[in-house]
Amino acid sequence: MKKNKQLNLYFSEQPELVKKKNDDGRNNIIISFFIIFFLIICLRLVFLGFERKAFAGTKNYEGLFYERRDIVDNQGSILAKNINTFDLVLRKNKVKNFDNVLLKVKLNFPEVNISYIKLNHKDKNTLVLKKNLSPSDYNKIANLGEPSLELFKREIRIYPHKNLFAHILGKTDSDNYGISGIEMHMDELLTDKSKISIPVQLSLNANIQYSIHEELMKGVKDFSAIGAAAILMNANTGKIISMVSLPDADNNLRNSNELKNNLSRATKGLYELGSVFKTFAIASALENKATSKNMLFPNLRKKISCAGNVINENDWKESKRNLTTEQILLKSSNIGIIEIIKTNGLINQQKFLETLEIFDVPRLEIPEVSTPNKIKWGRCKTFTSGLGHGISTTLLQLTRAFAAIINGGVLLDSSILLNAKLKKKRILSKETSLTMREMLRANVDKKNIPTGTGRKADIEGYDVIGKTGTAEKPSEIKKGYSKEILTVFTSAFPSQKPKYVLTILMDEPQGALQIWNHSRREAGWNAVYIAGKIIQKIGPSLAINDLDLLNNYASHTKNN
Amino acid sequence: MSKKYVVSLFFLLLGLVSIHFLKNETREVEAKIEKISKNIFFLKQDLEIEKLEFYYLSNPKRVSKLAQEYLPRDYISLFPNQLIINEKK
Repeated sequence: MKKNKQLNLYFSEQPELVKKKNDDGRNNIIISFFIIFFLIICLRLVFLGFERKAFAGTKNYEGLFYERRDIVDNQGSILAKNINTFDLVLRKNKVKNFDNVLLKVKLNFPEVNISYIKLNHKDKNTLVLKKNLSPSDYNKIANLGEPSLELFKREIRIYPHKNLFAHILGKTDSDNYGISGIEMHMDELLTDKSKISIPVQLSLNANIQYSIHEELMKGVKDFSAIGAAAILMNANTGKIISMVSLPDADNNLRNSNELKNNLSRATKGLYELGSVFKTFAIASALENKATSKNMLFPNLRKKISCAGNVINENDWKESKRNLTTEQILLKSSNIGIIEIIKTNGLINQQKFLETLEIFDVPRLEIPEVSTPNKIKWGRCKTFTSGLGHGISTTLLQLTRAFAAIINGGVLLDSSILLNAKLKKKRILSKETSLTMREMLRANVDKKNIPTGTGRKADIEGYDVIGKTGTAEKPSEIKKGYSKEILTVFTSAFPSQKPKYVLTILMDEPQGALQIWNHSRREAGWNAVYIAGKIIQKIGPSLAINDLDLLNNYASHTKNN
Repeated sequence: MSKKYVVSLFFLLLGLVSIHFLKNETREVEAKIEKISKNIFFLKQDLEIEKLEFYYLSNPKRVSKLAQEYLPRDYISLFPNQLIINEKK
């Protein structure tokens, strides 16, 4: 500025100096632009320096986990798991010498159908030649270096226990979507990306399941039954420890249609379950103080008729004429139970069965459940409901209701998830539950006189309680009932503080001459016998983690 | 005034140079992390397969079959009255 003033004084009128002044201004602007540009670059560099970008070329190695969560049992044993597998694929557009490719395939994979490739390679761009390659097959392909033979990576669901949990776990399709069992019911939860590394833990136990499965298989064979089912439930939590339905099929066999034809007899099959329902009729009458354990019902008849239908006493003897409530249960007297229902009141009987949720949809985390038919109550229907005749429900509902009778009177929801929170409601008093346990123990106790129908399940040290049921199956070809039967034994142990409820169902069992030397086929001669075998087998396994059961076992056997 | 600019420029350049070194150092560390992550990934993958194999090989059906085939049958019987429960009170 000073300089300019001087210039102005001395050379103000010189045109060169005016031009220079203008040039200086321009230079300043250009320099300013360069400085600003430089500063922007510097700032950008600083920002780039602070930017938290991953190292170039870094792969994300976090995503190990698969499309579906694992399913494990209550001990953490894997029941279902996804693994990566490879399929051998032929890409048509990469084939240079078709005969050469065919030769390579034929030499390395003799099991692949060459004629299939010849037939289809022109129509399809991609041909799947072999699924689920073994590691040696994988290496063969890698070593071949044939560009048209590619490895297609995908996930496959594996069930290491094969058919052991067939009806519970269900299956997934080739796209890893659940199509049956828990895989279908919990599809959303099993594919939840936020929890993909956390397995879904079931309340089932693989070892117990195996023991029950084995004994039930033997039972089906011994009694030539067409099927069978068993449920072991924790009576105090409603959690299912084991659930078996036979026949079953290996879950790993994706194309097998066997399972489709074998419905789950534990949850899907609706059956008339016979005399086990006498337990509920007596419990209701006891709760309403309509009867007591030793109340006598005199002059019981051989048969009664109701609306033209005759209800007979099974195997009527003179000793069945005068029976107490307990004896009615032990001798499984049909006429006796009708008298109890009359004393209790028909409405009370109906209400009690509804309170037990016998006719509601079973709440379990699998889709294969049946809704029992709503019953149209009438006088005769109410009477026969006490015999388990004319009303059908699932084995699961029966198990749940029986658990409520013996666990102190609390009806619990059932679940196969270990950490599920279940609803519960009181339906009976503790006193009624205790009386029921005493009577049900007498039904199994071998030393009790008279002996009950469940004596074959009286396994030393376990204090088993239970009730049998034998029902005729409805005929498939005509109206009414067929000659085939269905037998049930629902039991619990130990009697003082029952923790385990075990229910066995045998579908169309036949007499077993080789075991009993006679051909009787009622529940006492098959379902009870199998239950006894199962309790004997699973008892020690359960007692390992159950000090109460172990103490009970020790205290009842130390004097023997 | 110009001294101020020089000092600022000096610190700016110093910052830029140190960022360059830090960045390179970080890249090296990240490369190491990547290598380790890769190893962990494959180990985890192997572990998952091994786990599945373990549960398959130790499934009760197979163990029971092997026990019947190879274990001696002359077990010592433990009668119920021989049971002693060591319960802490």
